[in-house]
Amino acid sequence: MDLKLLHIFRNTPFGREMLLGSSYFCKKTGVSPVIYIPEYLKFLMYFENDVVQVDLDKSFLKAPGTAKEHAVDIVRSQGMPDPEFISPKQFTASTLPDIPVNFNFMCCPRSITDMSSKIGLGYIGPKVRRIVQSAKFPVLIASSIYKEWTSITVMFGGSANAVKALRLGLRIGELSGAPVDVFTQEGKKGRQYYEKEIDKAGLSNEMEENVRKWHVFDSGRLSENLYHIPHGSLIVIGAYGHGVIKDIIFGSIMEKVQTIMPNNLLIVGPNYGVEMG
Amino acid sequence: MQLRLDELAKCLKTPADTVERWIRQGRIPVRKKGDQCIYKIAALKKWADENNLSYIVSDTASKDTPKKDDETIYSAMKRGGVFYGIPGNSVEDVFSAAVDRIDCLRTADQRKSLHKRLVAREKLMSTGIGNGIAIPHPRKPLPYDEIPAFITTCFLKNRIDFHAMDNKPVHAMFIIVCPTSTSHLYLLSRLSFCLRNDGFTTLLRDTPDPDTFFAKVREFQKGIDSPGQ
Amino acid sequence: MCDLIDKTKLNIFRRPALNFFFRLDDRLLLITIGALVGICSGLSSVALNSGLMLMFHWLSKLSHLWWFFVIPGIGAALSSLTLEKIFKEGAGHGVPEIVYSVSRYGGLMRLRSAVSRLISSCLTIGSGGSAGPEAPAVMSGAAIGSNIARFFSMNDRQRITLVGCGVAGGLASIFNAPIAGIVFTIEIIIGEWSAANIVPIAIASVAGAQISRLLRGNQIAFTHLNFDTDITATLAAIGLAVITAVVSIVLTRTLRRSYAISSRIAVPVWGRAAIGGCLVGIIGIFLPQVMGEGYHAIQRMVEGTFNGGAAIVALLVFAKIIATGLTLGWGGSGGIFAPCLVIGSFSGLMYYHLISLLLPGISLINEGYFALLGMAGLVSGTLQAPLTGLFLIVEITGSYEVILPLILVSTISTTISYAFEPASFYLKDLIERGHFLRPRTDAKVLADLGIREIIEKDCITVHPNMLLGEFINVIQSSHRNYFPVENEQTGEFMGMIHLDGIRSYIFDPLLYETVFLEQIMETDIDTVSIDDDLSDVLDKMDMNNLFSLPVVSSNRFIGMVSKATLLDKYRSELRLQAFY
Repeated sequence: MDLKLLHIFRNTPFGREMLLGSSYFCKKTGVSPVIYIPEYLKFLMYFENDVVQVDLDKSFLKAPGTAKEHAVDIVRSQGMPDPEFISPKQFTASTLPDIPVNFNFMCCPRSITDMSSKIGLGYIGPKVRRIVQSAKFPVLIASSIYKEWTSITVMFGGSANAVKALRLGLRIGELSGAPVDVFTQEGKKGRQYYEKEIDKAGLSNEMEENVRKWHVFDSGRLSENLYHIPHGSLIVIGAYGHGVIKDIIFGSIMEKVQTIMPNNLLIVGPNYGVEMG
Repeated sequence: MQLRLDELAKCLKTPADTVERWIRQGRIPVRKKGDQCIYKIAALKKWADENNLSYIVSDTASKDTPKKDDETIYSAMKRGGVFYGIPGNSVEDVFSAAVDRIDCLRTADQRKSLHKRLVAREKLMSTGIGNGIAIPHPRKPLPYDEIPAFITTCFLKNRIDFHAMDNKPVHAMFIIVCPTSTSHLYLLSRLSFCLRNDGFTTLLRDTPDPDTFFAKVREFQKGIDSPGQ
Repeated sequence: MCDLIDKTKLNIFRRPALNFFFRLDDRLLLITIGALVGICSGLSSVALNSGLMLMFHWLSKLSHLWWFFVIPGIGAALSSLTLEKIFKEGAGHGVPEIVYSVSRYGGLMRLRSAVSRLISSCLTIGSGGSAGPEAPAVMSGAAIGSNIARFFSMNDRQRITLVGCGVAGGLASIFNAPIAGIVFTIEIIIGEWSAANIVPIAIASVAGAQISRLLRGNQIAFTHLNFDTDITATLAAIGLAVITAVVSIVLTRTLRRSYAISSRIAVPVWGRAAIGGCLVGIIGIFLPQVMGEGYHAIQRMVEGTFNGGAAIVALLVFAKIIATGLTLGWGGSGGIFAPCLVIGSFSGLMYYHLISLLLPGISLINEGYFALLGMAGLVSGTLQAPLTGLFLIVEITGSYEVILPLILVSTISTTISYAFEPASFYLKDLIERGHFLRPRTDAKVLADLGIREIIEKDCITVHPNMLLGEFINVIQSSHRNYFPVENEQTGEFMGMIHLDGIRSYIFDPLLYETVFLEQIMETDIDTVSIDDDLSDVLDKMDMNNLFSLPVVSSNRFIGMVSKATLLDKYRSELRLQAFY
């Protein structure tokens, strides 16, 4: 398997928690971590239709002398082989490196600026959102304090993006051997609608065989039903499938979930290509 | 027309990365939405022609079915059949007798043609490879398309002198007939692999019955086709 | 499904390429949107211009103060701070960034660039810094074009065209010179004349120029004058070409030195800008013509009403060069186009005075003629853009009579400068770093093709503990001559077996049961990684005379790359580029 996960390492205790979370994900799924230790405060990621400038907080440049050592130690402590490090080869301007985007996963903190208060719940920084919108890879938002996950919960809302999330969730279940649950909030559409969507995607058999339990909630508010997701579960969810504007006007499930749940999140953007991961 | 990226790449026989890059750069008349590629078949065909690429939609599993399937040594031998007690006191006689018995040849013309060629080849150089075994074959493939590849195993009634290398008389011969030179070479090499095995040659000396014989050939074939693992 | 209907409605707006009308041919689409981009970039240039005039107006009231020389320093410092802290742009010159993005990423640019450079250069130039407003206007136009393309979800090819439209519109608007806009875009930014590009770019250029005329009035930057040229004048032009070439080289090298010196000073970026600005201010006390963009000075020179003898003018040439170096090299924000024009005019004037002194008998036409030619010479020499210089001068002065000597000066100046400074000022950074990719060039094709696209993964792997006899069977069923050897347990890549190397052994049955593969494998071999650039891979192959190399990543064998497959893909790629 030649799958890679990009992790931007912050050489601080918070950064350590993040890298532990990334390495754990890599260990469970057989993905190799690739670490970037930033030398400049900004970098650019050129996607297919967007260029995202990421402005790192100064804490990302802390203690560069020990950064590599620490990173290797952390990854080793998870029982993984030593990680690869990338250093950017292309520069848009002398202090503005381009980071390649041909990875299969990327781990982001909730916010790329160091507002430790905001690292708490309910906030995903605007840059992380843009990355999710444009990237071909799913974005792993590890929980702010290292937490191991032992099961996978896919949020299935019936849209094309949700189908992608379901495929990804099943694939991760396959790779890691963890049980997969699916969670659907019925809303206006009945259970048949969701079953038909799954059928159209050709996933009915896989659902039968590999999904442990499909929770369909036909009553109650989403925010309360979310309590049923086990706390040691990796949540896989699609985002921006309907476009940013619709999300703002009609609200999106991804928003609610990321506001309420402290679990590790794996977000699948609209450009996710199924041949990755 | 709407296809997934990797499926479209397969139709164009180009790596998926390349097709994706072409779509991003606007060099191929395909639009991408998520991982679905949307295009008009006519426009894409035209584009493919202009750029020396092929566009083939394959619904079935587009694996190249290996033609070797019907040309494994086992199937060729089965097709050719095993014959015992071939009469004759000279090379030409046993050839005639054997050729008459072969099922795969339908017309008298075909039999005559094969006989002639076998004799010609034999005159050129003996096909006796020692240990009492000979592998007569036509030098060039027969000019009949409908004859499939086959190996006819013949156990001779009398031992015939083929002027083999070890001067031992021949008691078993394998007539190899193939429609193309490539398949001929293929079967010949597989056969020689079998014949290098001492156990096999000993078996042949005892004129085995069809079942034992074919079982042994099958065993060999398995050994050949899964190397190194 | 109502989902689908909603999406379709939205898509027709957001993705006009879906619209049936446009789907027939995206040229019409590009023309329409190109015109839009031209208008927007024209507007942004007009905004910049107005901003500059406003600042001049305010600050001229302060010109009598003793501490006036600090003003450029403050302006430059503010500009640098704005760029760094407010816009977080990251230092960098505008035009190279556009070229970089066009050649590598299909013209993707950040939205903030549409505004950031306008404001920062307004601060630098408005306060008296010696720089030009063209590069910021062009950068802003490019960013506008790029983001409008992004809004309409266009592919790389269309986006590049729209970036070109933005650049053309911006330049055309600043100088009120549509042809110069087109020529500059094609010469510098896009690098190739292609039928699909020219029409939208031309339309955008005209749109930009029109906006400028609408809002600022139809003025040619410098008034039209009649020059009666004759042979003497034409011959004199040759001499001028040499002079301007020399001056161009001096300018380029001064800028580079200036940049090098300033980066060694341990002061934050805005501090350096402040120092540079103050120094410019000091020069400006004695020679006020070096401050700002200098269009007024050019005007007077072309008209022939410039006051100053030979010595003063010669001094001005060098003073302006130093002032520009201090502004741009020390952190100020702006372009080099206008300074080129000013220095060029000064050089022309200096030459005129020189000739008049050395050959008093010759009657030459007036100095304005030489000022014009000097401008063309500098633009050609420094920017290595002879056509742009030529068309610009003709357009902004409306003097068609001088075309012949203009061509002479442009071409000679370019040629001479090229010998000493082979790269355009805009592009030399890119070329040095190897990032200069023009369409349909070898570098571009190799940059486009990645290893991932040519890697072949049909090698059968073997283990070091395999016997030669088993290996023979493997060879029988393989299609290749190379066999990677992997460790049985860890899958680690250990070496390669190449059939050529073992030909002498494979026919010896005695060795079949006695030789293990680890005895005949080669471990000291060149490998490449899956993230390597193809040009590096090819270099490695050429250096070691190899036709195939294994791709190894994190110690695992991934596949082989061979020159043969590369040639195949390279050719199809080149053919594809020819059509699109």
